[in-house]
Amino acid sequence: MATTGDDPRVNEGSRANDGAEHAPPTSPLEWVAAGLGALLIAAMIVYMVQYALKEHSSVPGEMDVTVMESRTGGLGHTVRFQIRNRTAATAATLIVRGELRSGDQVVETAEAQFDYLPPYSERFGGLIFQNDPARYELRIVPTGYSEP
Amino acid sequence: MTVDTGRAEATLPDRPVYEDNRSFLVGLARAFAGALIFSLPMLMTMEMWWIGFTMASWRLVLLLVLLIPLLVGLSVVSGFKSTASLRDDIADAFVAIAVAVVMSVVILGIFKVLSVDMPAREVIGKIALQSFPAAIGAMLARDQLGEKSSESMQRQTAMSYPQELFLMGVGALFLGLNVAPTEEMVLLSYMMDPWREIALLLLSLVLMHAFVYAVEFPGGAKPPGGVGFWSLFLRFTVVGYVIVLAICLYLLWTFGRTDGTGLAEIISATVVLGFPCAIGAAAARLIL
Repeated sequence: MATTGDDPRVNEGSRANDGAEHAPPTSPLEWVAAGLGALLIAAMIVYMVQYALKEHSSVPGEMDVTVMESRTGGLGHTVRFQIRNRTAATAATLIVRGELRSGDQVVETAEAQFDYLPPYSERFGGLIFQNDPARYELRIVPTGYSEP
Repeated sequence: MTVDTGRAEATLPDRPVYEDNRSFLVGLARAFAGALIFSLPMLMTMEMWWIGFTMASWRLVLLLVLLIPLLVGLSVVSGFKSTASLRDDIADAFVAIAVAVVMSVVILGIFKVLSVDMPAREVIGKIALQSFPAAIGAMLARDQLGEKSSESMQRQTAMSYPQELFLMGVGALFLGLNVAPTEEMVLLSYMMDPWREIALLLLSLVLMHAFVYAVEFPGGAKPPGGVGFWSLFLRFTVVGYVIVLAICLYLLWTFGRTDGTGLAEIISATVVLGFPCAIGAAAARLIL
């Protein structure tokens, strides 16, 4: 495509008004870009349609919590965890509560809140305890959310 | 740039004469700039990220489907070149979409709103939603940022009534999309009492009319002599405002602001959003 030196207006002087832009046909390069755009929007539409078709009105009840690591710092013991949504529903203002238990007794609780947990997504958070979680039984559970 | 028609005929004897690649690339750069300018406020609005994955999939599909005729129409009415045929307008529209998607991916990726470990629904939802304003911006930019040729000015003055109304609708989207997804639309409608809402409605109408006709702008919507105030007011301002409200209602519904909301609150949120949209619609000739 080394035709950049050629001014198409010269050949079409009869068609163009004086100094006005006229309408050269869409160039092959532009068609390539247009094709890309068509492909992209078609892909997005197709994906959304198939997602909408298989989307069931699910309730974000299925969530997994995995403890990633536990660290001791100046403020206390931080337990970093991952929470994963296994449903197609979004949980908003999700509250996750962590408990340190000794037998039946709850020694300490900590809470973390997530603005959003989107469908099939994971988010990370941390709980800060004053007691060492290693010495107790640690339970982390989501306790509530709102529907967006 | 030297003019050398002889060489062109020698190397490409049977090809039609295309717009050269350099001017296409310049147009593409303008489109990127326009997409960015138009959609930056939305790229940096957290509601836009959230709505991307919380909104119902069917509404997103509808938004994407509507985008195509909107862009083609925009190319017909105010494209940067007077395209020869509908085919070229369609090409322009899809180029704008390609630009919008690429720009959204890059910027959202840098912002870490998108990352590779996110599920496809979240990523595609965010990109698709941002592509809507970005594609409009890309399409407008080819006109806005380019030098206005006398021919494009002529086309603007020679616009038909439906084309005028269409352009008003695009103007409404231009300003309205910036604020439509935000929580503030609903919050304002809760805060305002009915009298203030009526006042806002009247103010929208007055400002709209003032913008359209008291300001004599270069677009040249100067009323033809002998047409009365009421005729103009009813044909452009009132009809324009009705279109504006319809667009507002559609945007609020798309962004999920009408779900489970009472009729009174829906109306008042529509009027609140209608204010920026009305200004955008009335100033369409100036800013688009």
